[in-house]
Amino acid sequence: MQELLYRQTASKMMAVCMRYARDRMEAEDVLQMGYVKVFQKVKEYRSEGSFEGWMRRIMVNTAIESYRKNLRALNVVSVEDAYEQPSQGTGSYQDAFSRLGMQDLMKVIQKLADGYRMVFNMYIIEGYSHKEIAETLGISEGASKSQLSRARAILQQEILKMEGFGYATHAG
Amino acid sequence: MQHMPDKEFDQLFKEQFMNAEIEPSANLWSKIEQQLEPKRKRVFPVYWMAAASVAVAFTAMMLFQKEEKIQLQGQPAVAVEQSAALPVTSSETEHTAMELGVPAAKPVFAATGMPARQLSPVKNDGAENIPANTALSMQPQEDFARLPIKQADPKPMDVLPVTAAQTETPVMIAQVEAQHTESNVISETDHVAERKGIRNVGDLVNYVVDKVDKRDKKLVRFNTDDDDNSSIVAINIGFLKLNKKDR
Repeated sequence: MQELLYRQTASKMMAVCMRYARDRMEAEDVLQMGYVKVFQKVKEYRSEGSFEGWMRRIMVNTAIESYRKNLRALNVVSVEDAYEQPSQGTGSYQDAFSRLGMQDLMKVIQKLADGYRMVFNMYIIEGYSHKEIAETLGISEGASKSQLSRARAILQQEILKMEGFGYATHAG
Repeated sequence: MQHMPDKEFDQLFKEQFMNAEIEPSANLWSKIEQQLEPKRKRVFPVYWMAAASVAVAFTAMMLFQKEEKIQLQGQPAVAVEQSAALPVTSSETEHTAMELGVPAAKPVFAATGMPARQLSPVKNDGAENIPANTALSMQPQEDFARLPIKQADPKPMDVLPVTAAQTETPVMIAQVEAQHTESNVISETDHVAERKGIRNVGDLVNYVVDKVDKRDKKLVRFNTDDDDNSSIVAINIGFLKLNKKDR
């Protein structure tokens, strides 16, 4: 029963955990904790919304908890910040997205600084408001907003870079 | 290079990730299963509870046994009480018989010691199968019976001890009689309580025990009152006896 549920949902939940983690190992740790919680709390599920959505929320909350536990210096934003502007535009973002798959975007997200990644995931994918993010992560709403715009800028640069590289190899 | 609006950018990301699927490692389920196992181990507290209840029962027995020790002093009185109805009067007659019998037996002792010993058994038979408990009240008689045997030869000497024994025995009889009346009173109230019917758990237990245990001292007996309070009054589980009435 429990294993069947796991088999049916694990890959979707793994994708959620991956977005919040730096790598596969970290994601699987969160996934494991998340499923243990799901089985422990399954009686509390009150058929409001889909069961998958409920599980997804548990995974996200577990990921946030895990992030807050090892709160890795949010202020020390690494070298990633010192991105140079992409030298030459090789096309539109739409083109870039169409050529990049989910796996590539995942890599880009995982490269983000932890704080940026949390805000980006929570706001853009999960649809939290800045107020909710601020309360959950214990930061100010302003910090949430500024981190989101920084995250967007970094991702755009990264995507263009990847796309440019991919285009170059493809063309070459 | 074209600039992409934030909304469009966000939407593209969201679309890519909403239905994303990434296969986790094959061995992850076994890890989760292992972590879920401790929940099944919750059966163990049952054993702990069993052990705890055994400990409680043991300490309770220790406490009751302590009470029993106190009881031991009162036990002979119970024995007399039980057999009070008939034997008291009979023992009275016995004592008086002894008092009379000792001087009467003197000549017989002088001839042979045997008839004197036969005297008391004969009287015992006459006392309508006295229970073993009455043996306690009978013990002094044996002593009396033996004393004269030794003192049969020096005739002048035995006059003093016999009179001493005579003065002792009336005191014994007085005690016995006092307890006899007391026990009558208690048993009367007991019967009154039984007639009140079953009003609480104590009454119910008493009723059931009455049906099952026909002994004088029941397996367990509760004292019940009109406020529906019941307190345990007597326990008799063979080796463990308690009876608050004896105090």
